[in-house]
Amino acid sequence: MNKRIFEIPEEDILCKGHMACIGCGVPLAMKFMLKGLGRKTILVVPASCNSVIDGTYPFSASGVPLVHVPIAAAAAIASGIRAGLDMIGDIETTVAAWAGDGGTYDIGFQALSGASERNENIIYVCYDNEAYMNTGIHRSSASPFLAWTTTTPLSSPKNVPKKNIDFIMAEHKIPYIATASIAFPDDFIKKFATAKNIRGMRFIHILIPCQAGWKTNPSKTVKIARLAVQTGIFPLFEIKSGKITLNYNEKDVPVEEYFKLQGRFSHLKKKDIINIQRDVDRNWKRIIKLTKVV
Amino acid sequence: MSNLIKEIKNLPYTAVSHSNMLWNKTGSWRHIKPYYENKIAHCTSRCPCGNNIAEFILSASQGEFQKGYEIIKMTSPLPGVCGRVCYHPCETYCNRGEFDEPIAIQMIERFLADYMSDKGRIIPEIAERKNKRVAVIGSGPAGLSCTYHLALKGYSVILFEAYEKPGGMLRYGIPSYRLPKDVLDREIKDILDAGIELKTNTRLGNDFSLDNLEEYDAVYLAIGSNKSRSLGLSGESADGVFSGLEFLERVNSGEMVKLGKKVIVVGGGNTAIDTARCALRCGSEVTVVYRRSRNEMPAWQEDVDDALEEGIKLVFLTSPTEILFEGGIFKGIRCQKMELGEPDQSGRRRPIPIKGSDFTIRGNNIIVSIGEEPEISFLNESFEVKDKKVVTDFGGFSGVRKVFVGGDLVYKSSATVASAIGSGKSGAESIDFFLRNEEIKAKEEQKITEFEDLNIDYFSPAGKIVLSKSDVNERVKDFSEIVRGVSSEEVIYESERCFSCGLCTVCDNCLIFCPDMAVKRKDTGYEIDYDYCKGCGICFEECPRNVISLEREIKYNGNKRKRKKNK
Repeated sequence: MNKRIFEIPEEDILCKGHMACIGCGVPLAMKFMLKGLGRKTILVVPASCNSVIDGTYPFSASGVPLVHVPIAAAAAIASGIRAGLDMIGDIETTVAAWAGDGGTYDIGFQALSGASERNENIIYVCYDNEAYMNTGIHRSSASPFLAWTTTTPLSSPKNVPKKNIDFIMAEHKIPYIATASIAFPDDFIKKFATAKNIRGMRFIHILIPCQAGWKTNPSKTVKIARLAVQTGIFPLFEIKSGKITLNYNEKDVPVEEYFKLQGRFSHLKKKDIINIQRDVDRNWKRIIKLTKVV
Repeated sequence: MSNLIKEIKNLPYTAVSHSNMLWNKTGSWRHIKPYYENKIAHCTSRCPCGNNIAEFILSASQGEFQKGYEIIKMTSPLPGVCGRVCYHPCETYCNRGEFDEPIAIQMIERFLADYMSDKGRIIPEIAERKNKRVAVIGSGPAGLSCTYHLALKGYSVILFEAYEKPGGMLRYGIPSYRLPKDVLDREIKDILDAGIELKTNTRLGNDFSLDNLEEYDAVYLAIGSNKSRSLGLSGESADGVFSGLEFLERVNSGEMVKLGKKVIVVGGGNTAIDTARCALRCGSEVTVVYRRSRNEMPAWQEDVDDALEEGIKLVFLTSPTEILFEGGIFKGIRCQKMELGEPDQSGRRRPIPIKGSDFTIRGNNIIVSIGEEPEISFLNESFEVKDKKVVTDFGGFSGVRKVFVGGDLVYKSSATVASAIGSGKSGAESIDFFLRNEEIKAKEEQKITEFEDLNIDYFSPAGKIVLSKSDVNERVKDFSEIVRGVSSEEVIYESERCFSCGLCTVCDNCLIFCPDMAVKRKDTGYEIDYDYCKGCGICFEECPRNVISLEREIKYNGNKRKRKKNK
């Protein structure tokens, strides 16, 4: 017996009873992250879905210390906690900011950019569900081109593409950048374990399907996350000291497969999909080209 | 934690959580409930013997060949036979076939049987002896299977066989280049060793009749289709004319039948192809004449390919109209060309003669293999007979007191070795119900895992092992086995390709992908903690092999509706 597909650590640090929606991908990502980072971790969470998921005061489901902070301040407070730990001589504990796409791409960006420029010794994780899901599915600069949100309704879907946060972060010349997906848990956990052992600013970007905001079937959460990788919409790569490596080399599924499972894209026309496919192909080629640059 | 903070002076009041969220039983959110349920694999559902294919392949993939063999032995006493001569519907319906190539299930079965051949006799546990006696008539695949399963259930069985040795069509019908006699002997010995009394050279109708079997509590009749159909032309008694079964029987008894240089075989079924290939091995040039085309041939396609490769000529759309003989010696046949018309009852296109297309094929011998039928002259009127076969209920009961019927003798049976073995098994079950004075029950319908139910994202393409046959020029010289066996490494590789449809292999996917940490390990497998399971269904979706099922949770909707009605 026992034909394991993924070899990952056994212990769960995240605890049962959290408040995530049915079929939410965030607790999955949190579970995998904590498996990679271990118990000696302090989490810094700005206003986001995870502020709710963690539980009601005075309870917490995270299993590690977690500091709730204002939405603009995740990277700044994480830097501060790191400095405090360094003062008392604790170099073992990892400080990780765990922010949504709003807290990363938009509101939290100046703090993030500042911390990156100072090369603070923290891990900054963006769990990206492509809109302000907690406040009511509002458009963020992470929402994809032509996606429906409550502030980009069907009469005028989002008409600009998603910001490429990974390459913006790469231009900050920080030591480690990676993208991770909940559908590839072994790769996910390996990246966090790698990040843990690097000093300096580390940025990890996770795409997490949101069944409420993306209008999907809760059971398809992992399937959709996997399709995002397989279609090349969300390529899995890591940038270590400026050198980019692809972790999932196949791009064999057309983007339509990814879109047809999501209600937020149900208005897409054939020609829209063709355009998006072309963009995805172009972006994929660009990454392939970059992997060959030494 | 809070004590520590109090000690530090001048710290502003801070809200600190002191406990976890375990009090929050999120199971109350659930409206869809997942549960573990192993299902029947598509291959297993199509096996006429009812072999648990996915399970024995899983054992084989772990190198536990004996365990795999024991699993087959629960359902079929003849794995070495089926591993060679079955037409393997399991491979046709193998879910992996829709992904890349089907698993070589038949070869794995054959390997397990051959591997265990020198490891001593292994049969499942025999139930407590019962004081009941059953007579089984016919020791072909159906009779042997019925005998075996009755013996396992603890009945005393006496097996009657008309010929010198047991095996029926397996011995006298199937040539040894497809089924070596030592394999057959070995497996029959295993069955008989379970305490079976065998009476050979005892033919029903000649040496005894059904009325002589009053002393037995039940009778299982599995005499098979043992009579070749005739063409109905004059001259069939001429010298040099054989019937297919008669010829095969003589060849399989070890006789080198003397044939002329040119042999004509009439027919398109498995018997026709077998006779043609045997005649070839007796040193003749063989031409097979069939009245329809290749597509309509009932013979196993692979065998037809082999026959062509060996140099047998196939003449399609041709039907004999006259047997030519001089002085009582066969000289050739007069034939007519045919064309295909509308489909008939069998679903195949009906051959229609073309006028004026007569021609002659010369030859020294003709072997007529246009089908077989049971010899049923001994049956009295109380049996319901259609198409020279006996009509039974689903359990094989003939309607005549304590007589059950199985194998090819049953009306609308599919006339294959595997279905005969399956029919013997269900016959034994029916007899068991009957002797315990219980009603014969139909089998419950089980859930089947088809290709659409799998999550193929977790499987990667891998080619099937190559099955090799002996060289065509060498193999036509004698009757030695054609298909070569495989090594244990190849079997492990091949069985690791198996998807194990509907069978939990403890792959951990449900445990890994549960966002609520509600899946717990058990000794073998998992269980769901319904206090916390929110019912998202991710485990159901991410299970590669459809082991998890979903059902709607029962809620209090009933009360609401009632109140509305009262208003």
